[in-house]
Amino acid sequence: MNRERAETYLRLLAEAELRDPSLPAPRSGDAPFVTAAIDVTRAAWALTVVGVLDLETAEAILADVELALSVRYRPPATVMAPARLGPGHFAGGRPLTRMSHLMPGLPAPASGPVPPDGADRYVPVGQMILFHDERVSGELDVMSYAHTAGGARFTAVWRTRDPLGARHHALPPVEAFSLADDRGQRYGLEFAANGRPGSSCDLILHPDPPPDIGWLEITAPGERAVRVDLARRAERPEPHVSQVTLSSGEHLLTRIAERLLALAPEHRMHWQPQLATAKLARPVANLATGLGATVAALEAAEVLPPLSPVPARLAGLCASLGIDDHGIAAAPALDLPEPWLSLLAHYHRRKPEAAPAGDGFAAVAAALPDLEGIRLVLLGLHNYDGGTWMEALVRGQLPDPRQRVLGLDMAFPVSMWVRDGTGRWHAARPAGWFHGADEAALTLRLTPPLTRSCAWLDVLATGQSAEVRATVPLCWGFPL
Amino acid sequence: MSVLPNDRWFDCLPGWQTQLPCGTGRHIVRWAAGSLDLPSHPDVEGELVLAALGGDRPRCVDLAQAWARHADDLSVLAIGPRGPQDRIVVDWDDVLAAEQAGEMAAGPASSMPMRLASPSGPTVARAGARRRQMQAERLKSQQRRNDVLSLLALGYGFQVRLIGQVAAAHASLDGGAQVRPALVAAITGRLAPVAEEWLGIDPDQVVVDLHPARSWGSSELAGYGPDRRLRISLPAGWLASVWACGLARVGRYLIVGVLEPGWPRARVLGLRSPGAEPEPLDVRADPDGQLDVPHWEI
Repeated sequence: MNRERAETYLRLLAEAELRDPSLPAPRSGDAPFVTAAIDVTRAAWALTVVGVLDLETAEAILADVELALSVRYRPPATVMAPARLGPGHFAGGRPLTRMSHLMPGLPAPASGPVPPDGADRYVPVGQMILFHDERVSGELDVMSYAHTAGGARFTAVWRTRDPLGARHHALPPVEAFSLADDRGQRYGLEFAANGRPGSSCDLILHPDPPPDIGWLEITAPGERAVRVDLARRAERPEPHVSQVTLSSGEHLLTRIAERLLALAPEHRMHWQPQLATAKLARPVANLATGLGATVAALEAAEVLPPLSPVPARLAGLCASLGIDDHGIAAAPALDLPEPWLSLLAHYHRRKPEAAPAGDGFAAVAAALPDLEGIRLVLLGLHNYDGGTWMEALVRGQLPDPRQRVLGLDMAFPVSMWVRDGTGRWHAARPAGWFHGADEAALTLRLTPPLTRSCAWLDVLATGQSAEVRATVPLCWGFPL
Repeated sequence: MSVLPNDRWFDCLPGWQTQLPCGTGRHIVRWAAGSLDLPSHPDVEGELVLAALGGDRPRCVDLAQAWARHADDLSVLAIGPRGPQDRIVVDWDDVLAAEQAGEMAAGPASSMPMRLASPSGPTVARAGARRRQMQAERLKSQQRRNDVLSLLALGYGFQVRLIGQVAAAHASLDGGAQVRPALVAAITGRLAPVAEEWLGIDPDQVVVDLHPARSWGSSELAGYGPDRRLRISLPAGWLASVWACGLARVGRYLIVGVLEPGWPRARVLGLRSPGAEPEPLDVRADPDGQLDVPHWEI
């Protein structure tokens, strides 16, 4: 890793941009401000994400580039205006370039301590709790129970309907639920959707129960009590941990590739080769733009080995997706990783519109071995509205996620894939998370969604230094 | 061969002045021998006291303070002109518009979005502190932006003199790896168009290294076609004593150092071709020519 070369590369890239003869052309006739070229911003982003350049320096360089460009701006020749900046052409109304709101935090430090497992308790549940009152009815599909130093909670999916039976978006009235344990202690529930997008949630128990309770009885409005057996323990999958040696640059490029693979079906790209020249969906094109500069910046910073196969694989993936303007100098490779090929094959050879599995939820509670300074605990899987979501708890300190760049969550330091019972791979990418003290609620979205309710999943989690493979059994329940 | 000490970098530059709107009139700002002078404001300290008591602070005084604040600011090198053809067009109307826009943008921050679970007291406190920090950063960056725009509005003559001052400030220090990238980029950005005129080489094929010593450095032309490279090593002081003084190319020579500074006559070191030994050259400027940056001839 060479910080000085990284910064020098970025500054020289900015110099080259200023020499660009197309510089005077604004982005559009009424562009309110001028921004740095995509190559410069992508290189800055990549160097910051891999930790070779600090955010403050990157922001300062981009701010200088923006200002340098804006003071050189001239209206297009067709516009009858004096050859000077008009007030509207300054970024004067906005602060200097800020990357921090765009940048993911740095990957979690590998040395960051994961809280000891100790009395942590993860229990698969798989029970449906019905409720109804005069305003709303519905169900809570409870997938798991987890009790850590951060507290005790159920992880569940919720659905509500109004009195006429139509789907309704009111929250379940959990404040009206009553809970009691096997010792007669009573609890209240707090509804928390932080880090749980869509219809999933955590139901936090107050006060914190003893660590060894045997069961909890939940009584919802208008329904009989349901006993949740907590004697079952979390699955302890026999994981296979192997060492990998990915540089931080290779890890970043791999994550970009996975994001491309996930984006393409979301934006219904044309997969048939004869349609490969069709215009790319904007998010896909945005993500692919500047990849050449990203690769060059990582090489300059010595965080991407010159002989690394990853740029060629990324170029190969772009070729498969019909992306031409990526700028990667390496010739496209054909030996793409198995999960990538699986996803490509799925969309190339089969109908992407194949019906996903019906709504359902699976009880899961499986703790994976520590990886990249975090421990991932799977707490549920559910299909809903054509999507598949995996609920999880992350133990250890994740960095502040901030806003994602192009949907890429680099603050989550692990690449996740799952393989279903038919051998098909699904990319699992963060769809939301929320930080507690030493843990975060995390929801992963599977692409493509599951098409059947398989009995188990192979989970593949890859960090920079190690890879974990584990088989996780699923116990499905289905909503009414 | 030793070249000019950095503290005398400006000896090849004549004085220069311009006018700017200040209060209800237009005042002269003058640069001479590395210093900025405000002839219309003989008692700057007194005017600052009056401003602290609620009076208006003269723009001339603001400008002099901005000049002092940015006299070693490497951003000046990143934003300022790369050569006479790279003219920056900022005038005082632009500065005023940017200041007003910044004041409007510094309005009250938007409220926090609603969340399902009530945030705890410490969370609210952290969010408040973060908002205050962001507001302070925004004001600071706006101030910096207004400073830079004001300095650019002084025109090309002042822009190159400020670049010279910044470069000289860093040339006399050993800032190490913290400043080398900015200095390498600053020299590259200004040498590349000169090298294009000198050799006809693509500016993207100019590779600069920062020469650490007081001697002039080295040069080499290697490769063919797209692999052609002009590799040149120069000290940071080159930006001040050579480039800022309009000496970068004189006739068919690339000037790499100044032996005996002066205006309108000086003795410099010039490269006839890459890889050659530099030659001492006597050069002279036209005292009646354009003086924002002098034009030199052998």
